[in-house]
Amino acid sequence: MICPYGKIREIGTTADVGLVIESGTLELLFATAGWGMTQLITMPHSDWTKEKHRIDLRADDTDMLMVDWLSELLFIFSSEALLFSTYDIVINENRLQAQLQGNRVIGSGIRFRYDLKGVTWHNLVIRRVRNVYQARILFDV
Amino acid sequence: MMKLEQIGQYRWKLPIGSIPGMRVPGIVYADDRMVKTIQSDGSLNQLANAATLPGIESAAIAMPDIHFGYGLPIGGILACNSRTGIISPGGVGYDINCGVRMIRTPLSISDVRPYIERLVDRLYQTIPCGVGSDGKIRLDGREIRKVMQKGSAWAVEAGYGVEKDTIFCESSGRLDDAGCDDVSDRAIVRGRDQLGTLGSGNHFIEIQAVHTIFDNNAAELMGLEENQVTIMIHSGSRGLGHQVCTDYLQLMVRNLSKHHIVVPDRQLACAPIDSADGRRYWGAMKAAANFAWANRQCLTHWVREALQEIFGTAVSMDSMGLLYDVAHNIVKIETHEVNGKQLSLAVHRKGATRAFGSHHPDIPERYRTIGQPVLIPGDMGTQSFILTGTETAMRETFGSACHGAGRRLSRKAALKLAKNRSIEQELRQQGIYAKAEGRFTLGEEMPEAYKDIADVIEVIRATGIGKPVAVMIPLGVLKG
Repeated sequence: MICPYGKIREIGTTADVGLVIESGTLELLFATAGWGMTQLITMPHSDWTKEKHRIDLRADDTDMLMVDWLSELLFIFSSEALLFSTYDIVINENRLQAQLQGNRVIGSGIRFRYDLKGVTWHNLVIRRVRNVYQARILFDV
Repeated sequence: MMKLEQIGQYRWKLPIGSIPGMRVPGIVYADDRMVKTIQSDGSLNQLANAATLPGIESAAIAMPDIHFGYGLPIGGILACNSRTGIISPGGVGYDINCGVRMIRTPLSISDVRPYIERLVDRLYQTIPCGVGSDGKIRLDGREIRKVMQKGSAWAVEAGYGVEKDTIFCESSGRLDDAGCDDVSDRAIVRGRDQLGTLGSGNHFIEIQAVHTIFDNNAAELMGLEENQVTIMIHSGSRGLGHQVCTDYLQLMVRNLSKHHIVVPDRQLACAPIDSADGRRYWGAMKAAANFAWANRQCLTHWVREALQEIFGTAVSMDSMGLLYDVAHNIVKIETHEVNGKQLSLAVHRKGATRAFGSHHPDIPERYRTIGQPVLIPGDMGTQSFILTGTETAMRETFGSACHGAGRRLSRKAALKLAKNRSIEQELRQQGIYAKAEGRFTLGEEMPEAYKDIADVIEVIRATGIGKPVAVMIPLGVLKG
């Protein structure tokens, strides 16, 4: 399934995996990052609507907000086996509020791709080039 | 491209000034061919970044299996003065106390070959592996604290092993004074159902046979002989350790300015060891390390049970002793000589194995005359090695050696190379039965994805950092 929030390119470093993503707004960039990270775990489906979840995060800067956001999603997957495919996000002065829809995936017969251990800060890039927001994020596998 | 100065056949120096702020040089152990790869994969930048950290002593060191990671490169060693230096979660990595252990068996290659599929299949049924797998052990809040305090000994007391097992672990399978209160509720939630799980990616259980012995005296003390079957287990602290790293990176990134620390890469965020933040991470890291030792001990127990199920009275618990267990992602406070002075150092090893020389008091008595056993797995199609630590390692590398072959290809590139091939069949043709839970694991972990372990070991041997004892070949492997 193609990500509805932005463009995703998966990249591989020698040991780990990463994403290069772009979107039209900062909110869509964060939604694309969430979708992209989910895609590294297993391919999201638009019919994942059984579970609703809210997230409210504050950070000192955009980089920190991105790492915190993806770390939060990774914790929810690790602890509740919950992955999301619908992301409704508002970002205001480094505060992120998200309403999410997804499904519990363990025991559902889904086969997984990567066991992501963490979201790294290494070579993290978030930037705006004219009207496009871009990011590069590496994950420890 | 960063320039390396050759200072010996297999020794290279990354000079101070390669990037601004380097306090010490980098030292890389590698052959000419490895250097070409190392210079192009970005890992030297990561080594140079580590050399800027406050309190670093002597040099930032890279083993021949160095490759691009995050923060400190994989195969990297960072030793900081424990009084004036820092401690860094990124210098350890997410999988705290990821490590390797080896179990002896009384079986020979001819005993096991006819049953190898049955054995690997049984391990696959018995041992939870792969993404999101929960273990068979359920821990409540009180019990998980005990695991984090006691490490390997918790598992033995719970019936997953024998007391002797703890003797043959680095640090006896337990770091004292673990800071259970410094481990977050989130880390406990991630870990509570994962004790006794293998994980995925490069974690494995491999049935091996001793192919060649290089050091008869050491092999005899280790109870090894040619054609003997041994088992190697590679796993870590699972979600608990991953969350400890996440939590403390978050804390240390936020508090960098409070500690007046500037880092070239936020993944190397750190705090003075002698600060509240530093002490809390050190305590939580020890708790996660102990969880990892308990994890590998539980896996050991189920491996022994599977062997007993298949080989019956030919194997007793006593005959399947633990040869040794090493950590290769950890920070430990150790005493080393620097410029003629004995210093207390926080030695960060990320993809590097402790390799203490003979007569060190931290080595089990049985091995004290030969040096610490150093377990170095290769890829699943070639060989693994056992070495002993040396005085040279004590002098040059803070008592450390490499941790594996080191990846050569990214997972994506490996999968591309594996396209339209059956890695399982190719391994089977070599007499290796491989089974994996993950859909793409065998492709990502294919032998060509790794450097040649023999080249890595040759650098370690020739520089005197480790002394080869024996080489093992794989018969069967279970991957996550």
